[in-house]
Amino acid sequence: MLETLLPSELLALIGKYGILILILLYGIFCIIILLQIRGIAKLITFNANPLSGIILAAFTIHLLLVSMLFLLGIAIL
Amino acid sequence: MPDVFTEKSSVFQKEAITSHDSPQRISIMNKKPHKVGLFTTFAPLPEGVTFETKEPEEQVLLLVRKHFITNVTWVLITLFLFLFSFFLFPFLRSDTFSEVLFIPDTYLIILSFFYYLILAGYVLQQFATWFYQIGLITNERIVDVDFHTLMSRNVAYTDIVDVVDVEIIQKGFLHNAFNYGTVQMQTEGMKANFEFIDIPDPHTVADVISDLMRHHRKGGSHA
Repeated sequence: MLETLLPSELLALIGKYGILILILLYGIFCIIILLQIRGIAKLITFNANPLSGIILAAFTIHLLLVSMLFLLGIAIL
Repeated sequence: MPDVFTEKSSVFQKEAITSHDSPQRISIMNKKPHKVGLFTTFAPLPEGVTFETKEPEEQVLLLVRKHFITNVTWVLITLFLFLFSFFLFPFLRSDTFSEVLFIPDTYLIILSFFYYLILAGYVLQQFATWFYQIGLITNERIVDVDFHTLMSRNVAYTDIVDVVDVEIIQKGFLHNAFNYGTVQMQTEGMKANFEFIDIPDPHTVADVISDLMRHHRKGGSHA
């Protein structure tokens, strides 16, 4: 249906850029969440074992993976 | 006659002293210090747990989190979304979808990775929300940390002396089967009521708060 309105090249571009924009938005959301968790970790401290550190590390790795995926998307554009 | 008054006053004095022997009266103080792990939901005398506004002489007596069973909802949602992906990606590659919006194969791979990353992010976010939503009872006050999402938090403090009533709410099969429920604390005046939602062993928590209230009313400054 859309193909009758838009040429196939344009549809392919929408598909590509759409995914990249989604990844970018999600990356920004992840950064906000990471900063929020850092704030919470300062509020309550678990000295006995670095529990907040585990959660922060997990979020940081997650953010790194999202960034890598975004860069990969740009690279193959 | 003066002897009678002397005798009476000494009895009162004796009572006052026994009411201050807090470590024996506040039952939680007799328990061993508890190490807090990633999945701990109930920790009497938690080791190394502090918070921003904690006073040097203040001692954390109890740390509570929501019962682990309350995580079942998001665990099931995650499982469903994971299984759903096995149907979603073949559909996105099918001719039916390609007619509507064509996504090249390389981008479909990126999209699938992105989908699983979002899923992992959802799990992390839900876990962190559960992990940081805690209630702390110290010998001086009650601290309630609430998260609706990770974006909005609400930290409330109240002195034990301001608590006038403690109520336990256990409704339904799950609450009784897994022994968890909500402990509501009514505070004096215009202050908002405090509640520890879906915490394990609510009777023990209410007992600790009642002990502390009794202790503070009898004049004990700290346990």
